[in-house]
Amino acid sequence: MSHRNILFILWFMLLLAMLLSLTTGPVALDLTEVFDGSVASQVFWQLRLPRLLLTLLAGALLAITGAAAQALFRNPLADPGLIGISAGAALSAGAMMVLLGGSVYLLGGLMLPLAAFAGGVLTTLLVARLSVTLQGVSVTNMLLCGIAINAIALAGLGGLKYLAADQQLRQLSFWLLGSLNHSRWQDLLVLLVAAVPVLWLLPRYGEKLNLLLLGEQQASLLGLDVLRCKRVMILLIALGVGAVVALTGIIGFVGLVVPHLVRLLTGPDNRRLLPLSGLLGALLLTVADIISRLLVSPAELPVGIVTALVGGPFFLLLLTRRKRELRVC
Amino acid sequence: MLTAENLSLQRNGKTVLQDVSVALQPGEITVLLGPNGAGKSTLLALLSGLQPADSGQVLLDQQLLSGIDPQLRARLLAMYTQQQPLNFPFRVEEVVALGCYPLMLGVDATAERVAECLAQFELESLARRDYTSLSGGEQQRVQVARVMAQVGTGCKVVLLDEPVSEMDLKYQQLLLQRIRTAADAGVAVCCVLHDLNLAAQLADRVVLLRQGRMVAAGPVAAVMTAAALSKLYSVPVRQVASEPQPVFVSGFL
Repeated sequence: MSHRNILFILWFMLLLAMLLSLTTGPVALDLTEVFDGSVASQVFWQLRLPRLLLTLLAGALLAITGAAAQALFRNPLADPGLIGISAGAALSAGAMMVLLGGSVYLLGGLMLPLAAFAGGVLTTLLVARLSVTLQGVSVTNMLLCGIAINAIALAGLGGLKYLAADQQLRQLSFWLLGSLNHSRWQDLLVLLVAAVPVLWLLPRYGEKLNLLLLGEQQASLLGLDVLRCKRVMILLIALGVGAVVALTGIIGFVGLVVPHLVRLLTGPDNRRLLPLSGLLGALLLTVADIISRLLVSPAELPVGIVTALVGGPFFLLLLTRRKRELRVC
Repeated sequence: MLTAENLSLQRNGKTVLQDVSVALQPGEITVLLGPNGAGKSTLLALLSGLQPADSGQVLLDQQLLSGIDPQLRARLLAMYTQQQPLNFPFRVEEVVALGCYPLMLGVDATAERVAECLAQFELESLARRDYTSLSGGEQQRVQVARVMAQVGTGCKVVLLDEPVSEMDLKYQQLLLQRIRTAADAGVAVCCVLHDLNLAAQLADRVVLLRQGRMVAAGPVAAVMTAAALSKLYSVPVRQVASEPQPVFVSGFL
């Protein structure tokens, strides 16, 4: 299948999923009612549309940052969730949520995303420092580092829950499960601030990331400013993951599963992998969101549960296929 | 011309290189010989600009190598390193195409150059194979082809760290031939080899390195003597022929 056909099919499926997402839910909605001021039109403008946009951006960001992280660590298992970037961002944002209480929405709601971004940068730097050497990337170190950071963040978030007042506790708990529920237009604006540079810049690094996959010395010999490239990657990954985590909590496995599927379709070339991952990420999260709303309608499951239910087994499958390689390290 | 003056490097308090000076002349092939751990790879890393020296300097045509913009440096200098950590399932032709990156060719010119380099190392039939599925020797041929793809018209220096270690006889000779062609076009070449006979066949000049120090440098006939080589490797080496080139055998048996 040619690259052009894959693009066409993905866009077509995405449009279908968007339509389905807008019209699915406890309130039946016909797209002809959108402008007539009815209850249905309010549901559309205040709930469905912002939720869909949040889902699209979050899915695209999670998948494209996953693909970028895998190039940065030169390992297809380097998902921001697994190696602790999401958890670091969540701990930082959670601390902000509990310690600042109601004043989180200072700075136009930017406090949480900023905290998540800072947490994301710090954890990415830490993991990179512990696992990337001149000779290559230690998969063992990278994954162990993720385990440690996830454990620390879990403990920290547990402590925060203990400290939190009832109202905050509920907020924190639902947020951590990964939910697209609280999508308001002002939140979208915040996400957009992060999404535009990430989705605009990352695909432009496709060829440079290909060089990086050859190894850091090899990339440097081919004229890549490796240090600068890695710094830009770390900032963009942390920005994307941080913004998504701040608004939706931890939605796992999208960054792992999506790039894998794209690689199966078009190979590992980052010039195609990055944009296609963004597209497929948006599509898959939209579908997961529809499923999460349909399964227990009229209530809904946090979408993080759906992605984990699909992504967890997928990860195990990958591990069994890669067992031989992992044992070498 | 690439010149290194009085390079020294310490690592963890141990001396890795001590006062090494070499000059790589255009059109000349210099072969670096020395036992494991002598500092050969480190010397190449310093000569390529990958690693800064503690003291001493590396000049490319009288210009400080570290002061040259990395993108420009990649057009002037190419290097094959021993470790090749690529573990993503790129196609062979995609790997070789990455070598063309610094040349900033168009799509068609890149494809043409890739085809040329694949042919030079008889990789045409593997062009669409997954790189990670190849044997060690095949992977080495692909990576060497990638490095040679980088050697464009403006290239002045090629550094090769054990480029034939996993190749069979035929591909060793193909590569030697390719290196000679590059040198004839005016490139200065420095190559680390362990096979004394290949070294004698390829080299214009030989540099012997032991424990981070240069112990001898000069033309093949002057430097590659049985006595010097026996001492260098701490193993008996005998020369059994001198025509058409020196032939050595070694061993305790």
